[in-house]
Amino acid sequence: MLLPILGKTDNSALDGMDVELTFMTDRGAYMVSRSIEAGDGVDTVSINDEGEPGR
Amino acid sequence: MRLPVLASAALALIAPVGAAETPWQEVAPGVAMRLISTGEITDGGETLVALELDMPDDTKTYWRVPGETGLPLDLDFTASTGIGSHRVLWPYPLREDKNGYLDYVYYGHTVLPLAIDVTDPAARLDVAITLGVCSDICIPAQARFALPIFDKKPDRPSALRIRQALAEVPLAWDGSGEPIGDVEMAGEQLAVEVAPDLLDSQSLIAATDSGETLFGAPQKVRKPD
Repeated sequence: MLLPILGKTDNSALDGMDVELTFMTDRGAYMVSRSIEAGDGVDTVSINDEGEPGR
Repeated sequence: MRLPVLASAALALIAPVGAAETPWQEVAPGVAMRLISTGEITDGGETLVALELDMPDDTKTYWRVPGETGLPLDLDFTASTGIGSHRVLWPYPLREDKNGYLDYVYYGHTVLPLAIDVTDPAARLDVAITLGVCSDICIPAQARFALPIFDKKPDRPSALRIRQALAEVPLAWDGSGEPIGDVEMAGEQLAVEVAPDLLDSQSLIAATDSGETLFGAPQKVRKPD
């Protein structure tokens, strides 16, 4: 999944930062924590709900 | 800010000794707030209290990360006695994309539990609260509550309301499998590996500890051919 980074942010400052990921499951809400890694430069294409390339 | 209207509500209404809830205070038109408590202290020295907001269904307040237009919750415990640190136990919020702005919100009746470390059985909470309340207009609603922590007759209805809210608070993942894999930068986006058989991918919310960086709604991704 791709989550857009909103607002004016120095994205390089996010490298190594911990991020909390919250989500719903059949058993309720859960969370995990991960460290943000620098990207490998591989291009990706996001797909919106209609199956078309998104923003 | 139109705080004078709220100033009277900010005057503390002191709960009687032993009560596990404060009187309601009107903090905005049609919106009332109170503090409720289990009245119990665990062997580990922790107690659970909660902010209970009685709001119309079209009125909202905000999550830990309020979003692009929301106001954060502010709790000032400096007038309290006999307590240590505290944690707000945030229920899973609604992600709202409205007029091009993304916020994380709760609508209608809302209970926000707080876990508080108690250092003295005679502890007394005295907390000043500011939080955003929005319907047609948004205001920083303010109130101050005082409440003893320990109750000789623990309040079952209040404890039940708090436990119901706790059921909506995300737990640390303890299931089998790995619902989330690596997280890495992908240009102006955050790329998150997910196991769609373990979670609802569209429910994914990312937030840093400070909440200063805001992440939008998740979008499906595929590698280009």
